[in-house]
Amino acid sequence: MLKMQSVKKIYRTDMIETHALRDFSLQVNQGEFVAVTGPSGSGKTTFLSIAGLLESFEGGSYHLDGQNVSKLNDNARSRLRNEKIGFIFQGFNLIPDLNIYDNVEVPLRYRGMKASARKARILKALERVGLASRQKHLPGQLSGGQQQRVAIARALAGEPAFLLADEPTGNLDSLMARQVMDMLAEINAQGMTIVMVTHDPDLARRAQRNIQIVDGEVTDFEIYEPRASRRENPSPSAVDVL
Amino acid sequence: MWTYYTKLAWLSIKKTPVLSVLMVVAIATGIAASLTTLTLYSVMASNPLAHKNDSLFRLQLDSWTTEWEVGFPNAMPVNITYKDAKAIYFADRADQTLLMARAGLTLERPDSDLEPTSEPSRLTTNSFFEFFDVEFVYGAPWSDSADRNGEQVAVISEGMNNRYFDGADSVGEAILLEEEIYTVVGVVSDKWSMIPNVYDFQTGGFAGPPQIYAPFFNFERRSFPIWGMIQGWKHEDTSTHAQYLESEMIWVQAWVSLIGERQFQDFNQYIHDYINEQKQLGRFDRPLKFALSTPEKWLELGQIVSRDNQILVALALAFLLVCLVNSVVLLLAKFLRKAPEAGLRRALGASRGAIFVQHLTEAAAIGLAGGLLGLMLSSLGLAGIRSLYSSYDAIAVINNFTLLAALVLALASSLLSGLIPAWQVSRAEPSRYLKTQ
Repeated sequence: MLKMQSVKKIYRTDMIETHALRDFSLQVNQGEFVAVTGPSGSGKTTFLSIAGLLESFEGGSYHLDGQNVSKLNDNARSRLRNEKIGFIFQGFNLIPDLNIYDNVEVPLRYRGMKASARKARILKALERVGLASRQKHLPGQLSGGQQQRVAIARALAGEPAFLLADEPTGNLDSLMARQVMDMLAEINAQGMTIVMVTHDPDLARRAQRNIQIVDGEVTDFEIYEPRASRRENPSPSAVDVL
Repeated sequence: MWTYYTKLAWLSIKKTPVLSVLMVVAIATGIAASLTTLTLYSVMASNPLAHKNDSLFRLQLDSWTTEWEVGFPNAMPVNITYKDAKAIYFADRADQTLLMARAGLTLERPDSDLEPTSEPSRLTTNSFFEFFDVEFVYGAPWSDSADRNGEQVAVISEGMNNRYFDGADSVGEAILLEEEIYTVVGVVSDKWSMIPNVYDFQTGGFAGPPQIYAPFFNFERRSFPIWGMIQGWKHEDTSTHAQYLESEMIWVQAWVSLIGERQFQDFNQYIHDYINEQKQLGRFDRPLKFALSTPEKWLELGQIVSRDNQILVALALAFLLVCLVNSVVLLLAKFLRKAPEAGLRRALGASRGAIFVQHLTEAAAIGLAGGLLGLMLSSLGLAGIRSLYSSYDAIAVINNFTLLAALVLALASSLLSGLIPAWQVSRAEPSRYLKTQ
């Protein structure tokens, strides 16, 4: 699904070169739920940006869903982002002027889908997160947990190849955080690949695999025992840190 | 996607109403100033006789004195003397010769209670109607023989026809001009006018058309009150009408139509010979000089569009530029505030082009609103000009040019003012804004 090999990312200013990722390699298989952890400044966000095709990188290669995406131009990367990747952000990142329906519609608009097809997808995604009845509400009229569920619906509506979640519960209280994590676990159980960046070890433990990044390199990984619910749908067992 | 972009533009405009109104007003003010001056300039600078530029010529003869200069750009009298006019007309060397003078004729209808009125009139040969594409409602111009014999026939305007004949066909009816009976042979449509007034801009380049026309050679019989330009340099006795006609007073406007190069050359030679002949008779003291000016050249000589008008247009366009720069700054501030949203849209799959077009659509919407408001303000500005200067009544109006210019200026303004801000926001790096949204 996602395969990075020896990826390098350097941020340069006039005075300083910062090696955000050094010789970074990682493989995530179809249907996996992987948590990426690490201290602040370790390169988690850079990894997420590169994995989400939001940033380019200097060295190495990156294959997404079997396609080499290392040298794609901006338009092709935008198209791939739109079709293959669902984003869930810490700050929800909903557009405050658009109602829930229109927020979920955003990625579908850029795919050039017909209105009827868009509507079916949006309603299905909103029903899946239990917010179909709130489709005319503005984001400001919803709780944080509900907003994050809208963001999940937006990510799911595009039927992406995998979800990239960046601290998805970072702005939520513990109850809402648990609800959102339950929802992600359920989505993963239905076969969706999820890569989640977090600094919270408890959240990381809910994933099947935990990758730790320090100074832009994978320093450790751990495979957790599948939970009871996963035993019915066992996830791939390959050792995937290269 | 256009409907989507339009919807987003509307939401964005609604979100910042004060800023949006400021931008619309800034663009509208610039467009209104430009439209008002451009409308006046376009009409003033137009040549309604462009299609006759190769066949119609204004004739000037330099019969002025050597003692001082005459005040006209080509240093010749604007008009010619009656005796020269008559000689040239009856020599019949041009395809057609038009002689005319602006007069004020008193019109009344026999056996009518209506008060007589003194109207701007034209004593002219019948070529006037063909040369200047005059449209008739009833009847037609008088005949060549009526011209040569100075018959008492007349053509009146539709306005006069409405006043004295209730709009009915008055051809064959009698009217009194300067207390003499004339027979109406035609009625000129009120739709006809020539702006600028190529045939006689000395008495107002934008004045309305004459109300009464009568054959020029009625001057043979009697005098009429001349309302046009009269120039004179010679001290001579002009106490009788006959003396006046034979004098060096310069007041007859002369035009000729010349078809083809050969006729043009022949006529030039004829005028050349005529002046030499007159020199032998003791006239035309100055070096031999005459001019045959095309309508375009004549308008240029008449300086219908003054340098002030051109400067005014340049100033208005400069003002529009200043308004656009203001608008660019305001749009830039607005769009940069929306950069996080643009970054999010980019993350969700929007290409840079899509973000660029989305924001350009918003700029275009603001520009079009500015154009519309500018058109309304321009309409008010033109109404103000009309109320101040009655001679601008016919030209200070919204016309097709104004509408087209409003559309072009609005689109150009919005595109120009939106280009840089839309480009800037389309370069938003999604990863930079996603954390900060």
